[in-house]
Amino acid sequence: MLTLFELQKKFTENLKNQDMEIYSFIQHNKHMSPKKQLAIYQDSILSAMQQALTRIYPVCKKLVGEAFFNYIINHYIIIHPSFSPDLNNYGAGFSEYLKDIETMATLCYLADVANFEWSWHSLYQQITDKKFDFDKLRFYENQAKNIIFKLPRSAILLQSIYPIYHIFLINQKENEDDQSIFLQPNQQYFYIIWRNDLGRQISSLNKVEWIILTWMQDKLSLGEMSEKLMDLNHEINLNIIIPQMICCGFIVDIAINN
Amino acid sequence: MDIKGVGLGLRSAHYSDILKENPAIPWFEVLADNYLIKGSPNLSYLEKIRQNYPLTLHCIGMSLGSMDPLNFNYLKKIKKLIKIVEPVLISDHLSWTSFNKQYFHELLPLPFTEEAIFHVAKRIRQVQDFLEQKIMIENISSYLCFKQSQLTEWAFLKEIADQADCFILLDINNIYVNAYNHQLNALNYIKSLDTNRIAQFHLAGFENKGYYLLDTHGASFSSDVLKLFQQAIKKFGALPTVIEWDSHIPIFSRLLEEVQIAQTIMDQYANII
Ligand SMILES: [Fe+2]
Repeated sequence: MLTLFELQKKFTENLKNQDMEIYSFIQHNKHMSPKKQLAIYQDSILSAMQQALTRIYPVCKKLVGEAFFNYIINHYIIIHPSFSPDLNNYGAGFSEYLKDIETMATLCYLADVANFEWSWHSLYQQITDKKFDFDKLRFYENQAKNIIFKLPRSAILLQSIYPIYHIFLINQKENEDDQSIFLQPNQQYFYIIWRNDLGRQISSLNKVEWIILTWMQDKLSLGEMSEKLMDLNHEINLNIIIPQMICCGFIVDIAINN
Repeated sequence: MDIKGVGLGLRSAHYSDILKENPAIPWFEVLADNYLIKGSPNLSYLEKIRQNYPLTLHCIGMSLGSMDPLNFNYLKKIKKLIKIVEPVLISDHLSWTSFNKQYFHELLPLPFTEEAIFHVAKRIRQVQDFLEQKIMIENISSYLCFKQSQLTEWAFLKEIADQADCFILLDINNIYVNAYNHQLNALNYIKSLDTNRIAQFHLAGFENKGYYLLDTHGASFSSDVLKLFQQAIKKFGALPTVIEWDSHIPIFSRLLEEVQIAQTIMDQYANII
């Protein structure tokens, strides 16, 4: 007789690598061998994880086709177990995994699209922030240099050398438009995605806006950002760009940096 | 707060129907794991629905039968959700879903042994202490049995509930599925389950795969399951019952019809007692 620990160990070893040791501990069933009985669990586990990845990465699936997508996710599932009770957390490393597949080289933007899809999916799980309180600006007027700006807690800043949002859009289920993509050399694309009470949001950014938002995420104060901008020799006026960012919803709160 | 009659498993596809139409459903059972993030859109829908309906929480992540340590990170989130929605009752399954920190997202079967009873009952007590309330444990569908089992499934269920001092959520469909899969008599399960700890019933649909039944929650309950439901009501009373439907989820009005069918049976058989 196995201890509960040994039984769970052997059972899961079978789920992972078809180890047969558990078979002799399973009651005989007149219709199915232990192997077939265990296969019901294997199929069910695989199917739950396949469904999770298919739900999160529909554009990747469309780009590589169903058969190849199923092939790569099945391999991904074997080498990447789930370590969270919540299946919504499964698949975070899929973009990194795609980078390592040599046959993916012809679809050079796939890993970046996967990264975009993961970020877009993860917004479902994020907190929705309250709207910016403009009274706070007046309150901190005298300490302007020390103000730090808070992005939505859900905000993710993305950059790619491929137009990933465009690729994402033209590959939506309902989109019947022209699906050609023109890759331009030396081009960079910047985005912020976040969620508010209306749902998931995305905005394209220019490089300077993207840099400023990364500084804000790093909690740089208004004074520090002004100095850094001078170093960069940019003629960007923070007094203009920051109110614009507030109106767009990129900034939801301010505080004083002590 | 008390709940009575036939409630429904809450699914996100039906949020707007429920909020718009305020259907006459006595309560909803909520898949707790989908609402663990404070400020998430799912949770804000749930809070709105909670204003009009009592709720019960149904969990899948406690992994009560696992040899891994209890996941207190998960339990803390459940406790926070309890504070927000104040559920009537909380449940999870008599199974294990994780081993060596890896989660399998499947309700895996336990051997019906003294060791398992002691282990699981101890963990349920720890969970109850942490959550500061009694929970319900649900009997699962299974596709294999272990040779080393020393008890019947119903005796195992009863013994754990007694040792843990917890409630039982009796899934009628799972009894039927297991009876078919393991060549048992489903009626005998109900007859032999001798306990007053049952607090709720589950009803759901399965898929017939030929040699076995798969618990898919993707179809209407079968007439055989409804017959078992009648027997369960006769024996245990007209306990609150939830209809679960998780795959190929139909339009809301179709689920209301299912509720009506189950409620009619409940009313008929409750009067027989
Ligand atoms: Fe159930």
